[in-house]
Amino acid sequence: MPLSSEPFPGFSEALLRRLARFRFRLRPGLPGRGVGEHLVRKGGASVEFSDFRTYSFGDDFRLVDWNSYARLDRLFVKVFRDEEGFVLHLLLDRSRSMDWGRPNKWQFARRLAAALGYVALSAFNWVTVQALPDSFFLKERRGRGMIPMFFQFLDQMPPGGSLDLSAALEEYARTHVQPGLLVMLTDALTPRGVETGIKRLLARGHQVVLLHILAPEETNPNMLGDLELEEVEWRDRLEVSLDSFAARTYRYTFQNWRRELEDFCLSHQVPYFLLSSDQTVEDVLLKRLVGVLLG
Amino acid sequence: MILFGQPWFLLSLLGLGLLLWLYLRQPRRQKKIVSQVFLFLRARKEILTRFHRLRFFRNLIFFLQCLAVLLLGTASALPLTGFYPLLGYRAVLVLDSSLSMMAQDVLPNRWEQAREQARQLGSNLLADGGEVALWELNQDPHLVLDFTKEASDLDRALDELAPAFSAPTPAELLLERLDRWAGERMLTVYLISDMALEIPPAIRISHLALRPQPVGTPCGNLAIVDAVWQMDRLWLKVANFTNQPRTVRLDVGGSTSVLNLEAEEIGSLEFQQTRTASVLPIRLMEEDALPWDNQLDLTIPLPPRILLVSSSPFLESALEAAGNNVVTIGPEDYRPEIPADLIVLEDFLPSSLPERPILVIHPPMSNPYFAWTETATLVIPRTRTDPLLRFVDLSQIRFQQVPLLDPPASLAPVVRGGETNILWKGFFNNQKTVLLAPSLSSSSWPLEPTFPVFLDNVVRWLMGEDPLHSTNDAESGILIEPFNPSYQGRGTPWGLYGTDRADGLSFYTVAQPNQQESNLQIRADMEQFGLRSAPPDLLRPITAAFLITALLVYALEEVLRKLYG
Repeated sequence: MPLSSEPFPGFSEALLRRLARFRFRLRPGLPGRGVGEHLVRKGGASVEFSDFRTYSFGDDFRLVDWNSYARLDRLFVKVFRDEEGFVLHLLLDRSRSMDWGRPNKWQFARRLAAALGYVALSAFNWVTVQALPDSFFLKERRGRGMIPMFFQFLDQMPPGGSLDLSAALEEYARTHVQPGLLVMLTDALTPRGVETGIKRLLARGHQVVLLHILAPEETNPNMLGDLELEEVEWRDRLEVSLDSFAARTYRYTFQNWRRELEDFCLSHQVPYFLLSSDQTVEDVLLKRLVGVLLG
Repeated sequence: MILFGQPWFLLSLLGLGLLLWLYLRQPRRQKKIVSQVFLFLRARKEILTRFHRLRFFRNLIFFLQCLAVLLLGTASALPLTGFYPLLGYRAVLVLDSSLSMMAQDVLPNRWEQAREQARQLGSNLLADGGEVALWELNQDPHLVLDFTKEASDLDRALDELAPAFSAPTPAELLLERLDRWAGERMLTVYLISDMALEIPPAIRISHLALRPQPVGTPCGNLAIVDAVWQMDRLWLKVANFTNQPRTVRLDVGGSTSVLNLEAEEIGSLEFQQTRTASVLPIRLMEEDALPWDNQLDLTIPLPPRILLVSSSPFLESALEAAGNNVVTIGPEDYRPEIPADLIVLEDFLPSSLPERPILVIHPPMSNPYFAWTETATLVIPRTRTDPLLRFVDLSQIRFQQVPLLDPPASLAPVVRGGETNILWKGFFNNQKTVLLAPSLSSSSWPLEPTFPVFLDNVVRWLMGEDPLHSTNDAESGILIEPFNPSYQGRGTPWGLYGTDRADGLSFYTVAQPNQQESNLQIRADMEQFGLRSAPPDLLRPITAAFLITALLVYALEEVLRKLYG
């Protein structure tokens, strides 16, 4: 039986069934919200056995392990894992710089966000989507019944606008106090950087994951000669003459910039994934994110 | 100053404007929408250095392209810094000093004539700024005087030469020794000799501009010593140099004539000879120790087309009597575009002179060319020796009305009578011109037999046909041109000279100093006949510069293509 009557464009039923089996791997101690299907270590009422502990006054006699008492003559109670829900914050960069590249970064990011949201909603978690710039916002939704609406929201979201990403993240941290798993899908191509915004989000207790999406032309530009470059987002202009040496210089500069961002993420325990828009969403989910973000 | 042989090719320099227009129109930069300008800004310093380097390359290529177009246009226009090489500017005079030159059958003898010719030719060449070397042709041909610019050196060397005994075949040795100058484009060898020598037909001397100059009459038992064709008459002179009477058979264009000659007699023959062929072969059929002078090819010119602008019936009949094609029109019908080889103008001068040889007879009083003051009655003294007056005696002719003309200095007076000249010849308006001052209607001359002869002399001179005899050797292909003692100018006369007919025509351009138009006309004539000439002196360096520039442009374009795609 299909999990959704309106799968996201390009998602097959087989992929959706496979995604439905994934669960997010959350940081221990990440505050949950309500009952869900996410198992946490702390004691709970699920059927998933977790541990024994010594009986203490007031414990429920139904939890006493009488077999242990018969062998050891001491009272132990069984502890079960709890099943909680959590909030998945999807911060989707929809600035004009994302609507660029071949394949288009925006299409790639939207499909990836749809897949991640599908995983969360399938496990009865809360999903909220914030497009940056912030004219599009999906309030927290929960449950599989929200999947069609979630897909439709993403499908109808157009790219556009210019974005100071760091300021937008700070604003998001200020207004969204419920900590959760916060996945940023962005190209991070912003002159002011994203570090300050990420710090604010971490300070709010979010588990931040950075999916850094770039087009192949940004990694390795194949343009040479006399060029007048125009920034797609900010309309800045720059006249350059690119020869092979200058192209190498650009690649060197690009690698430095990317490494700085990755180092920052590592030092702040923010999982960093550099993704190229010419990859398939299936490959990213199944080969890059499984084991780190998904389990 | 740079002159151009084909100046209209300079219009190709308009390509520079086209190039500039294309350069200005090309988009300075290709516009690209990108998402990572700030990353380029981080690498800006290094990239900007590249930017300046690329701009330098681009400007350099544009400059070189302009230079290439400029050089190509200039080379196509055939640039000249001076004039074409003058034939004879570097000349080797080879004086035959064999004993045959001392024969006393002509006076002054051949040696004296040859020395005089060498002296005159040398002084003319030196006056034109040339260089002259002198060789002595005897058993051991050798250099007597190396190239010099001093006429006194040449005179001294000529004075010191004396004929000596010579074997009959030194020419081969001479040519072998002259080979040291083979390939020198501007070198002419003048062989001044009685031609009592054999030039082997096998020797091809196309690499040397050899111009034999016959002197006097050749030695030998028998010889054709003169031939004149004029007005459908052929005069031949045949000499018997032996001390025995001889009967000689003469083949003239296929018909044989017999002539009895006493010992050491020069006999004359006269034939009626119309224009049946352009070249008339004449051969002595007798055995002779020196066959060189027993054969002669007489060139008979084609009848010229003469436009007669006159109302005088005498002129038309006199010109037609000489076999010319005459078209007679009145002055009111004159048009410059009427085709003609030469034009006769009587009592009429058009507003613009035709660009063809002209004979002007009694120009009208009001004309812009020849000042016309008053008239006089003239009695002409004895006939002069000018070719225009060959077989013409004017001493019995009276002219009642002769205007006192003052033509430009380029016209040299030929006949002077009383207070003024009546006949001039020379160049006027860059055309050969003969000017006859008296009015024909005021004289009985048109009724005299000498009048058509005079007109024929004029036509021949205007058409460049010298009435002197010319001979050549049909087998060796060597053109022998007579030395023209009547030549009045400096240096050699200008024109086209062939040296070798067997090996394809290899012609030499002869130019007159300060006569740019004539030089260019020569070039045009040569191109019309498909002849080769020495290239203009700047053509090769400019062409080389163009090729180098084009290669540089190509190389730079390749470098840029590799660097910038």
